[in-house]
Amino acid sequence: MAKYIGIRVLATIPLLFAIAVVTFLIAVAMEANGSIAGQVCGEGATIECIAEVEESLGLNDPLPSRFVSWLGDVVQGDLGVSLLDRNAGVGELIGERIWPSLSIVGLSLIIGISLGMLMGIIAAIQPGGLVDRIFSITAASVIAAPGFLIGMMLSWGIGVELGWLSPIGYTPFGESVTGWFKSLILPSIALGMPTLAIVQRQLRSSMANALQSRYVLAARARGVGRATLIGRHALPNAMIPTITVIGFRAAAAIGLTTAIEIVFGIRGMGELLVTSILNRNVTVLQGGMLVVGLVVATVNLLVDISYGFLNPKVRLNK
Amino acid sequence: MLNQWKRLLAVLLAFAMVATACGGSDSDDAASGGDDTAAATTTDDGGDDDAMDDDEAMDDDAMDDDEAMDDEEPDSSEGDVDDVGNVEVDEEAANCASGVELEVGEFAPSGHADIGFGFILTGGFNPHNNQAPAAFGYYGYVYEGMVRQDAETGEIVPWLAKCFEISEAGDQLTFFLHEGVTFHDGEPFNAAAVKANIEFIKTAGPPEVLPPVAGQMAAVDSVEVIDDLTVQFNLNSPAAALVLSGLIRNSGLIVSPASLGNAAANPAGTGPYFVESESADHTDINFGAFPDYWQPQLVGMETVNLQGGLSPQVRLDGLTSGEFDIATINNNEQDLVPGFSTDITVRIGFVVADWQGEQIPALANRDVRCAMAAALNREGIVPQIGQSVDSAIKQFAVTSSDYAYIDDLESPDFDLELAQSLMAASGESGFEFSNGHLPGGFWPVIASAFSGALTEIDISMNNEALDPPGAGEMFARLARAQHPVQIVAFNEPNALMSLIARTGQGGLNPSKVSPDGVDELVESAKGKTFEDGEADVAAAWKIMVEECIFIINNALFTSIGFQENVTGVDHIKGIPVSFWPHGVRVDG
Repeated sequence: MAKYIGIRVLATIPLLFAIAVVTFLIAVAMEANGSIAGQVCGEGATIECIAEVEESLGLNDPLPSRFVSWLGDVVQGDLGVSLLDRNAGVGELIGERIWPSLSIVGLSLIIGISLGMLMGIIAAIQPGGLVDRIFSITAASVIAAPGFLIGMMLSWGIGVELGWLSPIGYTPFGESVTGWFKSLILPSIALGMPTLAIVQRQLRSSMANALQSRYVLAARARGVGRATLIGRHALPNAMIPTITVIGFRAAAAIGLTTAIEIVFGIRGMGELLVTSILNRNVTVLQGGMLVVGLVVATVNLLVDISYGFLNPKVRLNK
Repeated sequence: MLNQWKRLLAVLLAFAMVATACGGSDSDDAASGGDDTAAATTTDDGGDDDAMDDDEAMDDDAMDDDEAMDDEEPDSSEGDVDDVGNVEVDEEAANCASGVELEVGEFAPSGHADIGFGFILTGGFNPHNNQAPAAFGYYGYVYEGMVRQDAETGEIVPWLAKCFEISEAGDQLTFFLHEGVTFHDGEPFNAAAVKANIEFIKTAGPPEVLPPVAGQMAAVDSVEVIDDLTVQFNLNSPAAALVLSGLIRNSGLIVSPASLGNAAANPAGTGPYFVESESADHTDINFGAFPDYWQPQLVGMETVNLQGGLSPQVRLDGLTSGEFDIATINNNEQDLVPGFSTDITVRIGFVVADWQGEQIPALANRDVRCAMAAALNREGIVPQIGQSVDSAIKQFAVTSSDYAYIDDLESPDFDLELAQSLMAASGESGFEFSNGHLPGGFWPVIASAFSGALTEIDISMNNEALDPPGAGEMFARLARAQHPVQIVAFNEPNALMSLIARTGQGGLNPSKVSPDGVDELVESAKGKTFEDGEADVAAAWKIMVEECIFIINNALFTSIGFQENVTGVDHIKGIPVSFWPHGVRVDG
């Protein structure tokens, strides 16, 4: 298993390099018309200031040498400074923003996966039954509704009208654990609902198939109890395609959190990336994309590793 | 006979007491024979231009006044070095010092305020590199100026200065500073600090100081420290009013000399609150009450959390759910506010920057410009940006009670037939030009509506989004006439600044030529006080509007919503999303 994990980790390195190249090239594409230097010099920038900044940032150097220089800094943990504020380090900005995003994504996955699995299993026990139909209609409706719409409804209904939870904002973990959890509930539900629906549908389908398979029928014939039958025999196999879906959803949730963060007024990575695009803040965009890429690559790695745990054939083949 | 002498003595005694209490400036000047030097004080009991809302902040103690006068009496040699005006400055200094002594109240802040803004203080607390009016919603906690704009009257009144005066020629400004004011870093606020600030603004350059901010002090030739609490601005022209207009904006916000050049990382002003902590992107800022504030009774809140960059829906949700005590909201959301709200106005319009026709010859023709003005359907545009019909205006003033209101303005209303006939009379047609506008919000809506209207008179206006987007870029482009016609916000704190900046030799007049009569009116207004210059300002504005160089479209009302438990709010007239934090309290 260690060898398998090692191979998967090594395979992630080219992926990260590719992310770095793409990130750099996107940033270069945004530099048209000297916008980087213009941003540093501020509104009403003079030609002299632009020339000086271009020189100091090495913007006139050839692209390969700029990439090597940038990558060298990144490897050492130096993501540069914001073009809009030379006192704000990109690493510092990302450090402030990544925890709210990871918290929302993490809790949304917990909510979506756990409830989705539960609902999927229940629906699979009696395919075509009333519960299955209710769950299927609910899942279809949730998938059709965008997360931000669910978020707005939750914010208005539970936050503003009922006043049960705060409709906006994020409380840092270090400030108050309870406050942190409460501030995550609504955005995590909004972000987790589509995950819940997709996991429920996927697991219901693969679980129903697994429960009809010969080894499950054989186990049932041997008198294996229902709980053991589902938990030990059917679920591990049914989980393999579900894990793939969860991997996709985790990566998608990192992107979808942008809208949720804006709806709930939470300053996370998504909001940081959007504003850096709007402001053409290239250094922040580069750093942010790189970190998001790293997170997504890590999620993919975890999914790959979980395959190995769930299916011995996978790790043995490798 | 004896009774008459007694009466005379009593009258003289009463006169002397009144003169002492009032600082004696006006009466003394009048008695001395026609001195025209304009002076303003923060605490002149007899004056009507008191900057403070609380009369209790004044101290009438004659003994203290005398002591202050003794302490601050200028060196007589200062009076010798200059003309008669300077001798009068010394007299004013004595009067100012004698008439002003602040009552220092109790420092008793309590409670916490949560505030939600849409604006982000990009670049942090460097007041010299972000001239967006909304930035004052942040700066007001930390920084103050020698003068500021009275929230009620809009007049420029002393603040960190006890009083100021304009020399007879209008080319010198002298400020007499309050004693005992300190910066957040413990450094004293004095004449040397003022001099350091103005010289920094004039010399530092971008990115520390934006060119338009430096431009606010362009008329200042030198700053002279008369004594520790007296500082004199020597101007290169009679432009005292212009400099005062600059001093109520970015260039007037005084930064501790130790923080000049590093204010974003180390903000230190004299304001009632200091920056306790802030996120790296300045969207989440915690302020703490400044215990050494020079008017401690005005520090109402113990702590303040200000969050910026929030969407309108989040701000409204935050306000209605009680998460925010104060938040900026859309004008049409005022009914949803749990407590109360205030309106803030900005004027939006088009400047025909190339009215001399250097790029587009047709624009030199008044008929063409007025045809454009007649094609602008203001009442049709304003609903598209969520504003009421009342907000459609043709002049700077919104109502007749506003500053520089023009009673007899002769500028065309929306009249397409008139527009077409004016175009026909001009003999011009089929030309095109560009207009630069900010990319978000109402800007592209108004710009595209105007473009559509102009097609009706065979004019093609191509709208371009500003890059980088920002007020500085907008005015920089206007200054170099990059766009023959440009949409701008006339949102300076007073009309005078707008007028002067855009006419005559002003930095934002690309043609450097004004219509007949405007330069004279501007020059006249420059050397006068805010109130005295109103007629000149209105007259100059009238010419610019009637010549169809300024084509104003609408007033843009935005609002700040407050919870019921917020008291002491005094919002800054003319500056959107801003209010003075001084005196604001949040109970419960």
